[in-house]
Amino acid sequence: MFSIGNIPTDLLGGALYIFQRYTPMFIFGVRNTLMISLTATIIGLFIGLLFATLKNLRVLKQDVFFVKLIKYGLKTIANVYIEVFRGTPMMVQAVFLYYGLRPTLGWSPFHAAIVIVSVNTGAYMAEIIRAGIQSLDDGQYEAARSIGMKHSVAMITVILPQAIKNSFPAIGNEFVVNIKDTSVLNVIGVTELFFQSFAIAGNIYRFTDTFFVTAIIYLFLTLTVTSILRVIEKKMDTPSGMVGASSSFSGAFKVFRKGGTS
Amino acid sequence: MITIRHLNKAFDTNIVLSDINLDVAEKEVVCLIGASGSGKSTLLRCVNMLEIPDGGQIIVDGEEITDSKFDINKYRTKVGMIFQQFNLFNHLSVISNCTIGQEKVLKRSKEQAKQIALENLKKVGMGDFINQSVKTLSGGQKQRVAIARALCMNPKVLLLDEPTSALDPEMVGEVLDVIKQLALEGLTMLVVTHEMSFAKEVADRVIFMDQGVVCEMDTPSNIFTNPKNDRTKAFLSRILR
Repeated sequence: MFSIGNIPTDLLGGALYIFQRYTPMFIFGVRNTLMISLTATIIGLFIGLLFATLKNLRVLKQDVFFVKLIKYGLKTIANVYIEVFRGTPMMVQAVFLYYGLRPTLGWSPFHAAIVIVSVNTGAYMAEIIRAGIQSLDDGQYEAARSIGMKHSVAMITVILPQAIKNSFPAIGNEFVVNIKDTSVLNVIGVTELFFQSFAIAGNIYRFTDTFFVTAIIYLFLTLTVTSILRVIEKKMDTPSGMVGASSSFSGAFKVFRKGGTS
Repeated sequence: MITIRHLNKAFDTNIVLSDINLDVAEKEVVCLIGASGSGKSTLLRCVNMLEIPDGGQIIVDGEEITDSKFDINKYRTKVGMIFQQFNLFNHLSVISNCTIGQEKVLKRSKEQAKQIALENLKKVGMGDFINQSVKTLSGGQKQRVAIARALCMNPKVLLLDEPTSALDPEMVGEVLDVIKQLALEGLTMLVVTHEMSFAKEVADRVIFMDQGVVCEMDTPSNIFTNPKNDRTKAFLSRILR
């Protein structure tokens, strides 16, 4: 079917050959990687907004007992969700959820992948948004309440739009992180870029050359996305101290990063 | 218009207001003066329920707002609040700052909200800035927009919490002029201020507070020229040199 002897033996020559020969497989992998990471980042943002709001609920002295109970309950749920998903590797979450829920949901690896990355990102997003909310002056909330807005209206029209805007660099960074971190999904057989590369490499027994190509593709994706995000940040006029945080290389931002997979 | 009876408020063990009694008539302008930490701002914030009183009654326009079943959100539209730090919505334009409350709270249509916002922005002299981002405005301009935002809700009472304290000196005048104009138009106002000349000129009554109690309450001319309470005398001699 093919002869291994045809592949150039040097790294660059081999990589070029492999890229040309397997272009469709790489493209298929890139397509899935981008689809999963983009969809999951957006869904994750909405999950994050919800849980950040829950975590930020204010329990007031004048609340009746029942309301206090509900508020504490919701805060606890948000805390447990955030800590569990930030405190365990996404690879473990993927295997646990995919195989655990397959009998009930009968889902494909691709659908499972979107759900898993969304839920995982959601936990990080919740912390990012929460920090964004806390960076706002209390006066913003007070002013909203003082013109008669309910808590929920004040959150939706005044607090969250500003929290999102201020933490946009960190939100964008999550997308960059997800492009790279979807590679762990090969463990449940999602045909993303890493999985495809592994299949190609296994086919021709040339791991170094193949993964040289893979690395360059990942780098191309993250650099492109990062520069697009930079342009958007400038357009959005993000507070100056935070501009540029959405870099895949930013050391200072590692605190928000997921553990161990970069 | 506003009746306050036996109002108490403490932050943990620190008593901020003790047994405050106060009446503000309709169309009256009352200025609250006193050293910082005397409880003036807390009293003002209690009238808007931004601080929840520990005890006592506040009755505004015939309704007891301190009743736990009272609908605070509806009430707050009738009581405008002006903050020391303006607290404009930073992500919105000047006009949107004035329309958002009308649309989301009073459920006015977009056109109607815009028209009312324009009227009020013109009134405070900010009619030429409607599409600007509030970040680009000076302090005085911001405070005037904040006043317009409050006026758009058609308040019956305006509460002003040190409206000029965060301003550069050259901008104090433009904001005070707007407030004076509103006073002339007959809006009921409760103003916490350090601008004694403003209090003298505009207030119908001046209240001097110290350590959480109302020490003296009288017309401005009596307070400033003939204070009776020793603490008022001491305070004024420090302020008016």
